[in-house]
Amino acid sequence: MNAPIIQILFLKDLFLSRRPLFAYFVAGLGSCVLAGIPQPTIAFIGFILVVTVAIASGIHLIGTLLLSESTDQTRLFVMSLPVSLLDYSLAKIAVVLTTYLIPWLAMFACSTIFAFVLPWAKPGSAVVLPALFFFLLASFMVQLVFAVVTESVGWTISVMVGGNVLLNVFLMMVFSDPEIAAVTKSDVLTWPPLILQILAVEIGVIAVSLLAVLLVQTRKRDLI
Amino acid sequence: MTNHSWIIISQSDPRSLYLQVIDQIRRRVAVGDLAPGEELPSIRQLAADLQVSVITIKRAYLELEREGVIVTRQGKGSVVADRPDLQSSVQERELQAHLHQAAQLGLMLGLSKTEVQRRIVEAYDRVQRRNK
Amino acid sequence: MTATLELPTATKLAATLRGVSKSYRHFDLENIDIDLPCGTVTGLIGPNGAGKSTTMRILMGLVRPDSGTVSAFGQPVSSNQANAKSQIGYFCDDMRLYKSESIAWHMQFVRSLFPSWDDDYAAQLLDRFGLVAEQAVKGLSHGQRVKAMLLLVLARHPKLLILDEPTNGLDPVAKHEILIELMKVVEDENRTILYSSHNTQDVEQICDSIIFIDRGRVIAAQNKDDYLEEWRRIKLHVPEAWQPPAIPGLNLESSFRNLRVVSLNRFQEDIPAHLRSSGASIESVERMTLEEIFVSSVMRGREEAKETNE
Repeated sequence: MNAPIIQILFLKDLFLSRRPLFAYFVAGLGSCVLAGIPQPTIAFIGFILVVTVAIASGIHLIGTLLLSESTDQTRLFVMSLPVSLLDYSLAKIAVVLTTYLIPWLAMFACSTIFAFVLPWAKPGSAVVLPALFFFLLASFMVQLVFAVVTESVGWTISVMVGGNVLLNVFLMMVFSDPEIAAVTKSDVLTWPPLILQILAVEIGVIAVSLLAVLLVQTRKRDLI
Repeated sequence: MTNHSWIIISQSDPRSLYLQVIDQIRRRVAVGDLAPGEELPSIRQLAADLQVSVITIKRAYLELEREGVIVTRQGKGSVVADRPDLQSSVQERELQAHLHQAAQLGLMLGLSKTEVQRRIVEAYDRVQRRNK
Repeated sequence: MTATLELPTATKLAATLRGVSKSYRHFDLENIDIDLPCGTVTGLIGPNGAGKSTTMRILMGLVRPDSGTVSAFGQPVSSNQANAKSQIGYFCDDMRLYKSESIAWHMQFVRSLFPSWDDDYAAQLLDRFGLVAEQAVKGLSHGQRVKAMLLLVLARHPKLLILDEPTNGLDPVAKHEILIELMKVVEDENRTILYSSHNTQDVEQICDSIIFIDRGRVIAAQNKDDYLEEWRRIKLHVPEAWQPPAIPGLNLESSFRNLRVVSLNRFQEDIPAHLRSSGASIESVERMTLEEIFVSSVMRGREEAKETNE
């Protein structure tokens, strides 16, 4: 494992995705601002946009950083350079995660801050935010596993669609739970057990996915 | 841009490249462009300049050495042979080749020995007149 | 003094393949043995789909063979070997650069990975190839793109160049520019080139050795002059009902009335006499160009394959 090479590859990919990264960052923050507006329709639109930005950025980044490098044949170019498959894989995974997490963290932080800072927001509602954002992250991680295993855009999009459906189920589940509904309207932060259970599952999925991605990618033998 | 513009080879027939190189070097010696003892480019240098394989240049140099036109010194490259009679011997050789060809063609045309002789004398006179 | 063009036995090898095999669904590469001596230019020729690109990728460590060994500069090459690649420059037709970025960006990127990068030479190449450094890759024509990629390979002075059809689809000027730079590499006796091309005339001109691959096998690997020396095309006038004598390596190329054209891949001085004694009269004995040898070899191979399948 060659740390300087990994760093060079990481920075290269970060540079190459600078425009979409910036766009998602700005769009993400903008959506958060909309979601924080006291008008319910606008806030709802803002909420949808936040989720959309998270999902779209995932697909876009996986598509451009990971999958298109194979189809675009730039991978052959990179592989002709003195990089081992391990270096390449580690740098790729690191950069895909980083570029996803930047807008994700921005939105997570922004919405959490709004929950406490905005006068019309109930601090208790902040309890739902980790569950929501870790759901989005977990969904992204699963897409990443599929992308790395199948190297196909088709499969990855199917997983995204599946994730979308699950998201709606998840949201229904969360907001129809009376305990959670109560907490979101309170000024006090309490953690209902359902939320904690959901968080545990999500973090589990994220950890397993990360391991799976690392294992699969480093087991590949042919560089191209 | 080739540094050795005194060698011009046609790349239309790769098979005869080695013959062209030999021919060209012999020509330069015959007309005196390459003086006895003058250094020749290294095999690799010439190969690069002419975009011709190293093996072809090696073969050309070996043949020229066999003919006594050049001399290869161990580890120091090749030079034109330092013989006072080099230029004339190369020219003599060329003359022999041309005469051989003239004789062959004469025979093919069905000319007699005296006819061929007459033609050679005519040609000699023409060239002499033109050179005046 | 006999002209001997054989390399001394203690020659260093830039790279070797020994007993390399690789199976794909519709194609097998079998038992490939290749030696690349330092300081030589080796031409790799063969029809499309013969296995040339696969062989070169195995040599680069981009593809792992099912069996056999691959080594470069005396060290084994495996898919995780980044070291070998720091000394090897690889080009293939399929490679692409990042469309949205400029040539200059790519130069900077490659430079950061190779201490052997030569800024001055890179600038010279930009000039010679007529490239504009600030131009984005997506605006480049095919020829310019190929030249840009070759610039990235050449400017770092690799010890071994593995070039998979670098002159494909280039106009004669671009091709000439590239051959000039490739032959400059030859000036250094420690640098080696493996070069595959459909342009047999270029191969014939600049290569010291030829490796011929067809249907996944090496069918010839020789010093270029020796290889060309073994082939002849002979035009014959033959009597009625003439059958070619059993001469190894003889192949009937064409026939028209009482004219026959045969090719020989193991020519010996006594063969014309042998043909005469079979009743044929010889009109001419000619050497063949590499292109003609190529076509004849591949055709023979296909006939053999048909016969073994029947």
